[in-house]
Amino acid sequence: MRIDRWTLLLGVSLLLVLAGCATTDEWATWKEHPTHFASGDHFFFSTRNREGGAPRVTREDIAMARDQGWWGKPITVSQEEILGR
Amino acid sequence: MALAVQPTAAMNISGSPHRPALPFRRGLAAVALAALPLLVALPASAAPADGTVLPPEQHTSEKGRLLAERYAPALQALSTKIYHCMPWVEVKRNGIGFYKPKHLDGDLRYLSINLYIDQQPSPEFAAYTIEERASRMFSRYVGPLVRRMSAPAGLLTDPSLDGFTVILEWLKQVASTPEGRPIHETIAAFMDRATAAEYVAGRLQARDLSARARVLGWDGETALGPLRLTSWDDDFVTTYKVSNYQLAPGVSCP
Repeated sequence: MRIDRWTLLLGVSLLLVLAGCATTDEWATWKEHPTHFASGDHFFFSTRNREGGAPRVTREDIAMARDQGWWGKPITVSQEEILGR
Repeated sequence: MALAVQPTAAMNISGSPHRPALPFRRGLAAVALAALPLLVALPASAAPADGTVLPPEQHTSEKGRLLAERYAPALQALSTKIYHCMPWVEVKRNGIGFYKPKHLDGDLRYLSINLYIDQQPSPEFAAYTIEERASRMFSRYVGPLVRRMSAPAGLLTDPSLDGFTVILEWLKQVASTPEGRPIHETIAAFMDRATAAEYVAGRLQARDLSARARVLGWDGETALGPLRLTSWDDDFVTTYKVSNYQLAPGVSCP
């Protein structure tokens, strides 16, 4: 079967996309930590706080730093084991 | 999310060779859609305390729903205040609400808060026993939080309210699992309304608070059962300042 170049391009693109796909659990975890994508914020923090000046740390900076220092879903008790709705 | 670009009936990957543009555009759209989250830098925690308060309709009893409706603005204010004034602390999703403690029978409604304390683990802290670590965290946070939680007018005398729960979680010093997952320690402190009222009124000292509370502990997911703690006055919450922290405009902290 002859594969035209457009199909090939689409197939390769799809493979690239799917290779980057996370599992459902991983997506749930990432959705709980959306600032994982906040590298733009990191850039702005760095430009706002140049060397030598007094740094200013906002609540958003702290959230960003916390999320960027986060290494995976922790092992911990779930709230549902302690409290009922 | 990227899962949306998995091949579906709408995405014709067999594309007619006579109409190359269509599948090509679809391919581009798929790639663009997948890359969207990478390109759009979401503002970090743009909505303070968003999703931290359990909505009234998600309480499973009329008693819980009514409490949640009555004090909804106060709970949101509590969440926002913690977000800005205790920036090293994170209120968990649906972490604030009028929950039923699982170990108690009946529809007993405790105003509850579930916090992750973002602190660097240290060898000194790890050298303590779990009771000693829990006592330090209890002393540091439970009393001050109960004061804040009980602040809404009428709450402490509301007969529908049965008590308070403070859940504290922090990163454990020990190595993470072989898979690299960090392990957290958790304590849950429960106290009835009378105990909280006595403490807030100054009739119960901080050193007696832990004895009047029921405290359960967990090491990761493993229940440790009830813990016997000691407690004392600790002004950390009111005195600790994050270096160079700049409050958001219009926000003031006590």
